[in-house]
Amino acid sequence: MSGVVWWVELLVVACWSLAAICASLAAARAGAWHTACRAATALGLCLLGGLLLWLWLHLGRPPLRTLGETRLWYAMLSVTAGGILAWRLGTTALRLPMLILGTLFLCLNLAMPQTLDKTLMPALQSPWFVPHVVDYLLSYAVLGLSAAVALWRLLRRGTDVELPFRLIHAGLPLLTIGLCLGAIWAKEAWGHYWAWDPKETWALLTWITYVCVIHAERDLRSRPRLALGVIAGSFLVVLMCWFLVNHLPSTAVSVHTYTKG
Amino acid sequence: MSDAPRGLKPAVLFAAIFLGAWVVQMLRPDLALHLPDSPWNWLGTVLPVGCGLALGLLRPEAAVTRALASGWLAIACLLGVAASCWPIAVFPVGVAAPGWLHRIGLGDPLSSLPFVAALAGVAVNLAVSLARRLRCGPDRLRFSVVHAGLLIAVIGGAAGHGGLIRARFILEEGGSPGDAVVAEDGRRIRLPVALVLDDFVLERFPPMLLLDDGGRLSRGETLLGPDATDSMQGLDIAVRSWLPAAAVVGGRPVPFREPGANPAADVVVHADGREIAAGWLHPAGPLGIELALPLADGRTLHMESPRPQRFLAQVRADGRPVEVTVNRPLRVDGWAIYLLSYDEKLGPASRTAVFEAVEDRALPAVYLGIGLLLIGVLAHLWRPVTAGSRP
Ligand code: HEM
Repeated sequence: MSGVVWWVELLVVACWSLAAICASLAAARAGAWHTACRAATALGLCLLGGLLLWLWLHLGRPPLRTLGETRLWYAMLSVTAGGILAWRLGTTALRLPMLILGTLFLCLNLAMPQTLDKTLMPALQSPWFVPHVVDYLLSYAVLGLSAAVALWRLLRRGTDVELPFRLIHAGLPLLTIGLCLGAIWAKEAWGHYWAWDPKETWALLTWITYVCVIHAERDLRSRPRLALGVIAGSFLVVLMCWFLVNHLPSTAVSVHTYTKG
Repeated sequence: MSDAPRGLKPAVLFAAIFLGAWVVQMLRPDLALHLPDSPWNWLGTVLPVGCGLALGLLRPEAAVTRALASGWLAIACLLGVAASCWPIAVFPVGVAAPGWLHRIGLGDPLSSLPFVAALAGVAVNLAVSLARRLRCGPDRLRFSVVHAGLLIAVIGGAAGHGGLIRARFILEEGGSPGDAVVAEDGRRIRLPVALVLDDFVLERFPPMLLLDDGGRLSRGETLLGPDATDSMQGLDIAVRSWLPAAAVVGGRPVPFREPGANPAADVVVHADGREIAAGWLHPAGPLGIELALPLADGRTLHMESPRPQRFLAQVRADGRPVEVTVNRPLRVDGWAIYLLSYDEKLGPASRTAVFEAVEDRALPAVYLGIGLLLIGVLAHLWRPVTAGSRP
């Protein structure tokens, strides 16, 4: 099973790398490169969507249990959300960041292939599991895009903060929804909507970080380089909450950490 | 300082108060603040918020109102919450906090003075800015829904914490908790229902293979069973015979039908088409020792203990049979009785189940707050209002 997953991931990486090359060429020469970029992105998305669906049916559980499985979703959601937001906001500036993010997360999976199995712990067998985790991954995807765009502009000495802020205005509500769904689920399953579990506390710290960013927006806009730095840096808290929390001494008592295989 | 952000002064003032509170906590490390029981918990939380609301409504343009409603104060208070609660993210309840954390006053962050000051700041700032925006300012509806939702959820959570009753108890099959159970705070609590545990059931997934390569473990992907096959690390493994429940007698597994008995599998291992090992696998369990299969290349093949798939308690509540599972508690009269765990050493042989009874009268307030917040952020997602775009 993991062999099939590895090969499909490789195919998607190939499609999206091709799409990224077309996107860079399209910046200089419009026309056919745009179409090629769209086609390669869509092909990659279909392959990845198909893989997730196949895994779901084959495993008999939502493929959202291990870190590797969440990276598959993240790759798909960053490209999907990036595409939708690029269309809604009328920009092409998201194309490369979304393809690079998606490819990067798939490459992590290629480098660290994971075993897949059908088991799912009883607490996760709840109708809240899928909406809670998928919404969180979607918010991480959108916030990841904001950080990628900010970092790119920071490195290229840019000062335009409009797009990264707009992405945060999409990512923070999604983060808030994930937090609320998690609280309701926790209440239904364990009796406490907030138990100060390590992952919950990191999720709160992540939420606070982005709430602070949007409340400082008015003043940050007049210091664009600082704003770009703050937006790029804020994503470190997301990474902490998502991956690095697994390496803290607190993990032993957390109900939230993803299994490694 | 001419280009200093507007509204920064109240934030600086709050930072000074917050640091003062922190110093007091460091000087008196055993100072612990807890909300009292109902109705004082409501009074303690609703009173300052009510004053904030009144101030915002009656004097929207007063200097103090502007200061208390400033966006930078919101940032300062939220950073205060983050700065005082982070130790819980690293050393949560159940993990001993290191000595230096006690020395800096954050051994028990959630009842520390700085944390309480920051949380109170959040509530007052939300109340004043909400009321002020209701009187004057753009985008009233959306601002109000998000911030009122947050305010109600924070008050409900804080006040509810003071009045929350949690009582954990263990029941053995055939047993009942008797007249009363002991709550977390030591009080004796009468449950709203007479409870008897009839049966505890743990269903498990079939086990999987584990390969030990000098301490590096890799897991197979197949759930084992009769005729199952799996491939891992260049090995092809096939099950020749299968005992769904077994015990080890004289180094060999024999059928043994007993709850808690683990399965056993007779497997044959091939590498590059050559048979390299064959024999029985059985995980260690409460009923016996482990059987593992050493391979010629120094690696060892094991059978992992089956993982829990579902556990449930069949109880009688006032004589009525009910099934309680994780994610499906028993609800009676504003109480919810949750099935938390069981005797994990015994696994399916466990005859005990751990329950927790919870009464949380503030829950409707918290859910109302969460509901409003969700509506507000959905509206924000649809058409974001950015502070920078305001005139
Ligand atoms: C999901 C969470 C939140 C979202 C989406 C949000 C959104 C916003 C937005 C968009 C504004 C600017 C509105 C405008 O200028 O028209 C604002 C202002 C403000 N927010 Fe929030 N907020 C959130 C959480 C909080 C929290 C937790 C606090 C309190 C600690 C807070 C306190 C304030 C204050 C004081 C203002 C300034 C009010 C004013 O200038 O009249 N907000 N918020």
